[in-house]
Amino acid sequence: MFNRRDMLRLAAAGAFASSVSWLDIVARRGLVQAAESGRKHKSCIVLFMSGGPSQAHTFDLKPGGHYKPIKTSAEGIEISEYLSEVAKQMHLMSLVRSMKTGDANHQTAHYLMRTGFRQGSGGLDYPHFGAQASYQLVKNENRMPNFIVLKPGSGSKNGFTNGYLSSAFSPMVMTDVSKGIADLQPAREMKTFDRRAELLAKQDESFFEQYRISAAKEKMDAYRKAIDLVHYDKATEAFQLDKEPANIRKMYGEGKFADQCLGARRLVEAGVPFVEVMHPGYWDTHGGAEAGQRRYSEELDRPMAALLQDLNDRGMLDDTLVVWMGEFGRSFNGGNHHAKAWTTGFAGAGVRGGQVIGKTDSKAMTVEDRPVSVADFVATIYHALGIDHKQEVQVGDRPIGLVDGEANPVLELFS
Amino acid sequence: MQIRWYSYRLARCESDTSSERVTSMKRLKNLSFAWLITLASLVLANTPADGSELSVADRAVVAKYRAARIDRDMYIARSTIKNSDRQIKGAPARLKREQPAVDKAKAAFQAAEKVLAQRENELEAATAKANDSDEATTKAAVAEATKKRDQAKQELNRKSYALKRAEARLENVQKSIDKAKSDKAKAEESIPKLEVALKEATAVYEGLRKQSVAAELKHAGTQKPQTVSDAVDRLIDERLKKENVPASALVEDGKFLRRATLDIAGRIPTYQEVVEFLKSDAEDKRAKAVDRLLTTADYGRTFGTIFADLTTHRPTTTATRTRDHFRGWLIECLNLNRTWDDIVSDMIAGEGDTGSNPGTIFLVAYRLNNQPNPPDILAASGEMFMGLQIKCAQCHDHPFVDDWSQDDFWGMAAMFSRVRLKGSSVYRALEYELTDNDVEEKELFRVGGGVKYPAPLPNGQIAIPDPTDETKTIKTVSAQYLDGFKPELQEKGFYRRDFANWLTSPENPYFARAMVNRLWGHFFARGLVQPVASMNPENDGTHPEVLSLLEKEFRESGFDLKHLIRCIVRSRTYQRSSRPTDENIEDKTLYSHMAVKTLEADALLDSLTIAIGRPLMSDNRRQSYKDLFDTRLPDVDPGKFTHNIPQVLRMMNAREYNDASTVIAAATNDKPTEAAIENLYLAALARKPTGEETKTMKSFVDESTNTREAYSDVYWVLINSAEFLVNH
Repeated sequence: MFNRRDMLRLAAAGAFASSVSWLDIVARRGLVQAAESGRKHKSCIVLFMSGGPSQAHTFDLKPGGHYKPIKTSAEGIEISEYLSEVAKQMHLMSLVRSMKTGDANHQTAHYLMRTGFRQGSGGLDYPHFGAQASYQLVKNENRMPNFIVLKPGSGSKNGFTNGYLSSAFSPMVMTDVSKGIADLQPAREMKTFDRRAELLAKQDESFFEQYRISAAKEKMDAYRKAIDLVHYDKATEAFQLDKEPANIRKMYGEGKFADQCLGARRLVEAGVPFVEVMHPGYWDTHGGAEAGQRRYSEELDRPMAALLQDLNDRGMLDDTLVVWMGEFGRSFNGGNHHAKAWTTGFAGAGVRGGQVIGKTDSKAMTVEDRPVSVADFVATIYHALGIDHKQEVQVGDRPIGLVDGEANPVLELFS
Repeated sequence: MQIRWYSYRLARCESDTSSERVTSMKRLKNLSFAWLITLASLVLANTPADGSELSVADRAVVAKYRAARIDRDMYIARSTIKNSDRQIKGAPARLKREQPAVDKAKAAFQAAEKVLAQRENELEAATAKANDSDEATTKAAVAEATKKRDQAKQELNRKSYALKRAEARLENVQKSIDKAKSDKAKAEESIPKLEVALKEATAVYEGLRKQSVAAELKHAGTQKPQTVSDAVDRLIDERLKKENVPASALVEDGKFLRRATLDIAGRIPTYQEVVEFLKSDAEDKRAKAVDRLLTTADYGRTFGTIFADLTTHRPTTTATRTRDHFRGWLIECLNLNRTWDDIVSDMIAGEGDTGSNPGTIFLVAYRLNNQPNPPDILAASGEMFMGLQIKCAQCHDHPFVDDWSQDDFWGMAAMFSRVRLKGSSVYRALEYELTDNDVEEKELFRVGGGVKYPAPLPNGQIAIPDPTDETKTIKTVSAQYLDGFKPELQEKGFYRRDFANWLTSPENPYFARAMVNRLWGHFFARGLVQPVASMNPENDGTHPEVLSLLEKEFRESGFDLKHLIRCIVRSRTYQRSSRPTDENIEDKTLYSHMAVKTLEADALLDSLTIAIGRPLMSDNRRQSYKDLFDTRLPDVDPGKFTHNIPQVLRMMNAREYNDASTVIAAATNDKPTEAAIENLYLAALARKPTGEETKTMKSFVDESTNTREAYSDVYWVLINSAEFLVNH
C-alpha cells in the first residue's frame, strides 16, 4: 500500500498532470505496488574473480599441483586446501569443470564472459547478462536499482554495459556498498526537491509536446526512477551494513570482499535483481601463482562460504542464483591465461548442489567431457532465473538473440 | 574502382612532400640536447634545412612536440636530481652499514690467517716428529694435521671471498654515490641550457602558430563556402519536393547559436555569448558566429576528442595517458587546421617515438602481445579513414560485398606487417618507439588471446591464419590494395608509407567521402550513408549527389576540415528547426527538420560547467566525471537517451550543480520577476521563455517565500530539463 508521503506526492503530481505527465499516476502505482508486495522475482549474485582464477588452484585440483586437495561436505568432491570454509558449503554448490570459451585476452574475455558475445560482433553492443536478466525479470518496475556492481578493488570494467537496452539497466558501479548510492541526498530539503520535480515535469512536458522526440520516454524513466529512489527509504537502508547483527557480520568475516558479499545479500533482499560482486584482487598471477592464488583464495573463502550459508539459512537460496566465475582459467602451474578448460560454480535457484559437471585431463588443461561454451554458460544462468534463452529482442529492426547462436544450457545442474 | 589512381600516386611518390615530411619527423629522434637547441633556434624559424614544403601548420606541430621533448628532458633531469639527492642523502647510512661488514669480514679473514699459520706450524711439528720416528701413530698425526691444515686453507679461501664481496659492496656503494653526484652535476648543468632551449622552442612554436592562424584566415577569405552550402540546399530541397515532404522553418537565432556551439565547441554558449548574439542585427551573424567558434580552442578539443575516441577505440588496452597524448596532438593539429591527409599520414606513416610524433599512437593502440596487430590496424583504418567495414573479410570473404575477399583484406594488412615497437619507457605519457627495420623474420607465430598471427614474410607477403585452427595458416598472399593492385615492395621496407600515400591520394575514392560522411553524421545525427562507417559499394545512402558534391569540395580544398564544416553549417538544411510539423514528423532521412541529439559525456559535462558559471574542467579532474557520464557507446543512435541513474542523481543532487549562484545573481539581481526568468532561460537554454513558461515560472516564484531560492529552483529545473540534455 502507499505510505502517506507517496500519497501526497501522487496527489501533487496528479494535480499538475495532463494526459502525458511523466509522473503518471498509474506508472507510479505500479512501482509502489511492486515494491511493497516484496521480492517476487528471482535474483542473481555473481562473484567475479577478475584476472583469471586458476582452476587447478581452486576447484579442479590435480596430482602434482601446488596445493593439497581437501574433502568437502559433498561426497566425492575435493577442492583446494585454501578454500576450507567453502568446502563446508560444497553440498550447496555445483562445479562446471568443463568451461571452454577460447578467449584468453583479459579485455575481450571480460566482455565475452559478461555479455555472452564477442566484442564488436554484428556491429552491436550487447548488454551485460546482468542487465539483460534484470530487464527480463523486472522490466524497470522496481524501486531499487536494477543492476548493481560492487567493485572494491582492481579488475576490468569491460562489459559493464547496458548495451542496446535502456540506460535504466546500465550497472550502478560502486566501490564500497556501505557508502550507499552516491548523490542520493537532495541538496535542499525534501519539500523543495518535490516542488522542483513537479516543476520539472511541467517544463519537460511542453518540450516533449513540441518536439516529440524519441528519447522522451527514457528521459522520463530515468528521472522518475532517480526521483523515486531519493524518496525510497530502502534505497538507503539496504546499504547500511551496520544494521546487521554481530553474529552475521562475524560469519562473513572482515575485509572488503566480506563487506561486499554481505551487502550483496542485503541488496537482493531489498529487491535488486542482479548484483555482481568483484573480488578486490586481480588473479592474474603470472610467475607467482603459488603465493598469489593462495592469497586471493583466502580472501575469497570465508565471505563466499558465509554468503552461501546465509542465503540458505534465510531460504533465499531457493530463488537466488549464485555464480562463481572469472573471465578464463589458467595453465596448470597457474602462470598463463587459459580459456580452453576452466571452472565455474553455480548454487541456488534450483541448482542441485554437490555435483561436478564435466571433466578435464590430468593437468586441467583440456576438456574431456561435456564442454560448456559461452552461450551454454549464459543460457544456464538465464534458465536458472526462469528466462527463456531462446527468445529474441528487437533491436531497431533486427531481432537479436539473448545468447550467441545455439546454446545447450547445463540442465544437469538442475536435475 | 576502375580508376587506377595508384599509378599517378606512385609517380608522384618520387618527389612526394609528405614522405619527406615523414623523413623529417624521423630525423627528430636521436637528437641530442645541443642539436635540439640549434635546431629549434635556427632551423625552425626558417624553412627547414631539407627544403621540403612543410606548411606552417605542419611546422608548428613539429615545433610543439620538439618543445615537448625538451620539456620531457627537463623533467627527466629534475627527476635525476631528485633521485640523486636521495641517494647522496642516504649515503652515510649505507656506508655505515657496509663498512662494519667489511671490518668484520677482514677480522674473520685475519683470524682465519692465524688459524692457518697455526695449523701449518702444527703440521710442520707433526712432520718433524714423524721424520724422527717410524711409529704408525706419528704418520696418522701427520695425516690428521694435513687434513686440519687443508680445512684451514679452505676456510681462509672462504673468508677471503667474503671479504672481497664485502669490499666490492662497499665499493659499489661508493661508486653509486659518485655516480649520483656526477649525474646530479650533469643534470644541474643541463637544466639552464634546457630552460633556454625550451623557451626558444616555445617561442618558435608560438611564432609559427600565429603565422599559421594568420595564413589560415587569409586562406579562408579566398574560399566560398556559401556557394557550396547553397548547392547542398538545392539538392536537399529538390528531394523534399519530389517526396512531397514540407520542411520545418529555420531555427530561431538563440537556438541556432546553442546548436552550432554544441556541435563545434562541444558546450553550450555562455550567457554573454547568447546576449551578444541576440543583440546583433548583422545579416551574416550566423556565419560570423561559426567562424568565431572555429577559431576557439574548443573546436580542436571537441573534434580531437571525437576522433581520438574513434581511432583509439574505447575501451582499449591503451593507457589513458597515452590516449591523452594522442588526443592532445589531434587537438593541436585541428586547431592549426592541418589538412586531413597530413594528419592521417602522420598517424599511419610516422616514425620514431610516440613522444615526438604522437600520431603513431594510432598504431600502438591496436596491439596483440604488445606489438601492433596488422589486421586490427587495417580494420580501424578502414572504418575511420575509408568509411568501410572490411573487418568481415578478415576471417572469410566479405558476405555483403562480392569484390572483397579474404585475400584482399590480408593483402592490405600486409602493409602494416613490419611495424614493431621497440620497448617502451614510462614517462608522463607512456612512450613507444616504432621501427620497421629490425623485425624477426623467423618468428612464425605471435601467440596471444588464444589466437595466433603470422610474422611478416619478405616482400610484403603475409600468411593468413586459419580462423578455425589457430596453429595453422591457410595460405600466403602478397601485399595489395583494395582494388587488387599489387604494389612492388622491397624485401624489407617501410610499407606503411606506401599505404599512407595510397590512402591520402586525391585519387583514392574512399578517403574524402569517408570524412564528409563522418562530419555530416556529426552535425545531422545520421550520415548521408548510414551507418557512417559502412560506405560499402552497395550502400549508396540517401543523398549520393550531396555526398559527391561535398566530397569534391573537400578534395579540391586540399582536405581542409574547417572549410568543410563551414560548407555544412552554413546550409539552410543545417539551420532548420528540430520542431517537426504534422506533415514531416515521420521523416527521418530527408532532412525536413533537424534531428535531436542527446548530449554525450564531454558536451554534457562542459555544458553543465558553463551553466553553473565555472571554468571548464582540466583533463586531470575530468576523468572521474567522465567515467560517470560516459555511458554512450560508439555507434549508438545519437538520439537515444543514454544517461543512467547515477548520472541523473549527480545532476539533480550534487552540491556543485546546485550552486550556480554567480550566474543566477547576474541574471536576476535587481530585475523584475519576468525579466529575471527570461535571463535564466537565456543562460540555461539560450532562448527566451514562451508566454506559457513565463506564466508557470512566475507563479512558482510568486508562491515561494524566498525569491532568491525560487530562482535557483527554476534554474535547477532548467538544467535538469530534457531540453538542456539534448542538442536540438
